[in-house]
Amino acid sequence: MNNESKNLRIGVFICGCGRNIAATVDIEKLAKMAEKIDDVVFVDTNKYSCSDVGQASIRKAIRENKLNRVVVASCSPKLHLETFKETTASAGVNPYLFEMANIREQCSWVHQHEPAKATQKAFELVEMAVAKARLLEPQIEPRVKIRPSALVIGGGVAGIQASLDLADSGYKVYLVEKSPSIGGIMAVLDKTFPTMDCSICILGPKMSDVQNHPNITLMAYSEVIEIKGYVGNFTAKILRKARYVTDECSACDECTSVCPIAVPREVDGHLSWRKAIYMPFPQAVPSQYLIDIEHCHGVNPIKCGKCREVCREKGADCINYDDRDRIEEIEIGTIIIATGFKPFDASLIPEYGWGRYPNVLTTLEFERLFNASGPTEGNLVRPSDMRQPKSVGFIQCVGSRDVRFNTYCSNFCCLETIKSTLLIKEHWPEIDVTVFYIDIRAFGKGFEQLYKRAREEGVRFIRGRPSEIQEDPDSRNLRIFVEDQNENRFISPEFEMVVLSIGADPPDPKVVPIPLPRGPNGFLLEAHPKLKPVDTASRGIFIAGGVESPKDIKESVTQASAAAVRAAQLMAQGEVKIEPIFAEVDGSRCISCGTCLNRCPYGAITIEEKGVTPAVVNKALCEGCGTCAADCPEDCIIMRHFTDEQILEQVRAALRNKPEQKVICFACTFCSYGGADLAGVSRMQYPTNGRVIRTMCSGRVDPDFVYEAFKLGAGAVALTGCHPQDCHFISGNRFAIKRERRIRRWMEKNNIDQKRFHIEWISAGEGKKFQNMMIKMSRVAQEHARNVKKKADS
Amino acid sequence: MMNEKIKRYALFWGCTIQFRLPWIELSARRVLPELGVDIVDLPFSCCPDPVSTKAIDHKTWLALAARNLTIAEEEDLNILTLCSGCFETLRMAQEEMRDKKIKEEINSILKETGREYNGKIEVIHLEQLLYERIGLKKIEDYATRPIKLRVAVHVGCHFTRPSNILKTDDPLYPEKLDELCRAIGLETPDYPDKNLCCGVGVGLVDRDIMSKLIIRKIKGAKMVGADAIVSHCPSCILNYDTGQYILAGSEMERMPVFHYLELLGLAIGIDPDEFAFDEHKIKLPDITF
Amino acid sequence: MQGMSKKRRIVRVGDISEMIREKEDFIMIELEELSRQVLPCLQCTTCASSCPVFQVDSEKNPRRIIYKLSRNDFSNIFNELSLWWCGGCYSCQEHCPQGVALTGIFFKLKNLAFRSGERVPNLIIRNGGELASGFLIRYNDRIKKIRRELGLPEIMQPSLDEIKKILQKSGFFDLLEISRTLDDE
Repeated sequence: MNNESKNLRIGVFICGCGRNIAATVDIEKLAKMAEKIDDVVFVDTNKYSCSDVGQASIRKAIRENKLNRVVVASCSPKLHLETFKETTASAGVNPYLFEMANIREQCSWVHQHEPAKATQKAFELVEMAVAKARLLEPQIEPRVKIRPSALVIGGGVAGIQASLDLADSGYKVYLVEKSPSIGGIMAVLDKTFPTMDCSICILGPKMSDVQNHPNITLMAYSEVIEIKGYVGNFTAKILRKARYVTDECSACDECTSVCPIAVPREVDGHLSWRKAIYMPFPQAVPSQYLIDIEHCHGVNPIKCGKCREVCREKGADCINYDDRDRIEEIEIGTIIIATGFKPFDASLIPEYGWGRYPNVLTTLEFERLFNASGPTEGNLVRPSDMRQPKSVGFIQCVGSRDVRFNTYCSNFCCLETIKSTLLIKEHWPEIDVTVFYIDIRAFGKGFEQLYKRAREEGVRFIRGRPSEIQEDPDSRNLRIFVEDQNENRFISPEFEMVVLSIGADPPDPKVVPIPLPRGPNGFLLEAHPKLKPVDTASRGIFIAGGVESPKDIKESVTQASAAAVRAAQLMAQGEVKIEPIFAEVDGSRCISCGTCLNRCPYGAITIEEKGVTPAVVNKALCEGCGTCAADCPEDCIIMRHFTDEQILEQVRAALRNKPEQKVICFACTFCSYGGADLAGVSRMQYPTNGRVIRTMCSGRVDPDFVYEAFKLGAGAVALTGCHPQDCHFISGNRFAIKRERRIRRWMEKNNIDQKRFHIEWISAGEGKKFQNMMIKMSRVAQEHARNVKKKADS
Repeated sequence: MMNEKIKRYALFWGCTIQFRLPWIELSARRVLPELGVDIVDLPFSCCPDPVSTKAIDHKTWLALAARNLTIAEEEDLNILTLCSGCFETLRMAQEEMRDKKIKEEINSILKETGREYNGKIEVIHLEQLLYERIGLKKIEDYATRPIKLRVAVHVGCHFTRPSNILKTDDPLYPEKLDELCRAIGLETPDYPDKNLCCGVGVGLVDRDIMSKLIIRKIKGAKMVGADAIVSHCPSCILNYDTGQYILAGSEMERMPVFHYLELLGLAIGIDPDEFAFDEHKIKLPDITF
Repeated sequence: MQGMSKKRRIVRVGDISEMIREKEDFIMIELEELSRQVLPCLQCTTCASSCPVFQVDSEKNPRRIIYKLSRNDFSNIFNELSLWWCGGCYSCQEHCPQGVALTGIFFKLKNLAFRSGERVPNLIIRNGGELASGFLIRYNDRIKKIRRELGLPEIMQPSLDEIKKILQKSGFFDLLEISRTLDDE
């Protein structure tokens, strides 16, 4: 379709965003330059385009000037794309005829010291947006039904809360928990801060509610091994591990007395024993025993069989050696991930002696000592001699705020310690308690008061971070080596017990069977740090609790309810609109080679008869990554809203002026584009040579785009995307890098210096990496520009 | 013969062993060939030491270290060193000269001598040879008469630190030397101040502080009933052996000091007469097997 | 010490006004670079807690040198006792949770002290003086005798000519000449 027949009337709206853009980019000058662009019939500037006033003025302008394409030059599309799409739609124009130019996160914020160049770059970014806008087609958003059911992965307090909230709202919930009982860390604590409530007492009723709720199917001792599908229509495979004990079990406990195998009890931090047939803890839900198949003799009546024998003797017969792992498939509409964090492994700090010195404990082990259902029935005694300690020392920031382990602060450790010290002082005020810290973080409601109470009860707080703990070989007492900062003096006080206040480790990389972006510290990444704290980049999947970042119970519960509401929002509507960004095969040109089939990780493409019938794309399954289109040998796959021509026009617009100085950077929406935005949010400065072209996935980048950029004289080309295991579209980046050899061979043939093409994996949490890449590639482009000038001069 | 492969190394002895503790050199020349090591002597100079020379001038320190490395490079031999200080110096120098600009700067100084540093050879320490190249299993097999002795193992500072460059063992709680000791039958209890620096670095300016550190170490070893200290750092051994000798105190209170190679040699069957146990300042305990 | 040839120009850090008059203020630049390196410091005290010297003598505190640097307080920094009492054991650097390279910084400060003309501990200079002989210890008759008795070969001598050339080219001899020890004056 040529432009004349479309009768393009493009409107460009430039936002000053207060001073955020206007302080660096000359908005008025930019507007004047934009007026000269072909097909642009209307240009306006706004102070705050996203505000009600701003949006109203855009709407008015669209109507009055009969605009049929809209370009807003403002912040990142990751922030306000939806906002402005709606504005466009409400003005009567199809929202997919709208395009954004990012002149804030990727321009004004990162070129603060080069206003003139930033303005020129902003203009070129507007030109690129207009170039794409010219070729945009209206799209209809298909609708899909949302199943009114949710999968909650993780049965800690966050998972429990989310499940109850959703179930109470009338939705069906499947709660899957890996360990034999729900309750997580909260179930094994003694008291909670700042109220000093008994932990299991407040959690227990919720755990029972979960078990008894008609809308909740509790799957404990189970793992989610596969998740497929898309928002509203997920299927999951759950591995139900064999318990070898039926649910007729009355928890009479006869079996444990005859079982010959003893194993360290996990919930007691290995401070006590359990048998191979066991109940995790007295208040476990489901309150069912199970056989630990790893340590049992092998559920083999010839080898042992004692538990089954005694159970039959009692007339119960609820031990079943023929139980087997089974796989169940479920269908749900939404998913909430609440798998929590891992407690830091203190054995990584050998100089503190945990694991070697019996009287050095972690805060979690200490909680178990205090707990009435713990290894010592609530008596505070030293593991070495079972006597009450006369003095206890606490060390803060163990494994946190440390470049050698985790650099972040783990949020709960300060209050965890303060609570523990108060527990000691409440029962035994004569015990000497000292806390060694760098800072005390008592930021929450009631926290500062608790800290004060601790000081008033005589808990001593000494500012100093111990370097090591040594043990007296006879008394097994511990000596802490530390400088008392307030006295500028080295002290080595002796304690009968030392407690290490451990922090949180990020969750296991394989915690869920779908790739979800992670932040720089390894925790699952929320969609927006301020405005979307429980959403993920994948629609329909939410996160809550410790899996998102270390936090205490109240914050976990808050996030859990938030995630439940976000999931309920989708399910309440019954159906949602699907982004019409999907692939379409031109059947008339398709040679049915099957390449696209191999590129699609969603199984969205089918060929009835290979070599005969053309490939067909299932719109609902297609996520729009574009990997198939990039590798199609016939170039006959069209990616809606990210067509080849649209992308090529952006490349051409970017390189119209002084191409040899430019760096064309392809960035994927979910990771590297987010990383670029983060660099902007963090005000990391870099040269103005870069022109970012956004695609859904790095897999979309056809080598032809790169060739076109070099043919037009680009100084450098960068291809960026998600890290290898984290591709938002599962495998797009893998295929992207497979094209590298082809591209480099073409470059060699065409005498293009290999330095001028670079591939880098940048996650949404890696702003610094993006900045460094831009600085590096800008140098390459500048060097190339110098060479071009030298040639021209000679 | 026990050695399966002949490994040729340029042996970097260092000042402390050659001048002050020649009995360590004796032990090494006796024991290392049994482990398959072929020793080559080259005209090395002082490494130079990583405490006083490095404090005066970094470039000089680097240049002298580079010269030593080129001597081994010329003969296309890797360097094996028994001195932790020399090990730290040579490895840190290698790491630093991976930067092209620094390498060029140092080579411009070496040019006067006709030498050029290329970074082609490897530097390993005795403990790495024993633990990584030969392995605990083989050492256990070689040790046909394991020694019954309760020892306080002292690793010292320069073998493991700075850990981001040396990468030999945990810098704050190294355990590989303990494992090597256990492999030849020794009892290696944990003891207070096990990882305390011997103090020889600060001894350059303050002998009092050095003495206090020596006393702490001895006290810790005594607390667990150790019969002797075992180490592989010649500086630490010199400090403890001679240092205790100089400090006041009766014979009963002093803690003897062994070099690991001496005990290893005895364990693999070498006659005690072939070592120079009399050269130790503090009388050594009787060995039982 | 002004008026000496350019190669041997020293800058006395104690006198800031003189610093400004000097054209070659490279020591100031180096000190400012060091104070940039210590910016992540939280003053958590782990360095001092782990320092074997501080553990037996509370006057010698590595944390306080870092604190001075972080405030750009360079007054008398080369006279700081703690600095010369550092034995180079790297305990502080290994323990530091912020990754500050303390020991490296202390070595750098010592290097600068030699260039500045401030007084330095005697033993360190004496060791340096021995370097030209190839080793830190003199190869005297007593040592030769012991080695012979033990059946050990003569110690291989390095080329003194090469060593002298290196010490000359690196500026080491010049440094030794201008340095004054704590015993002087």
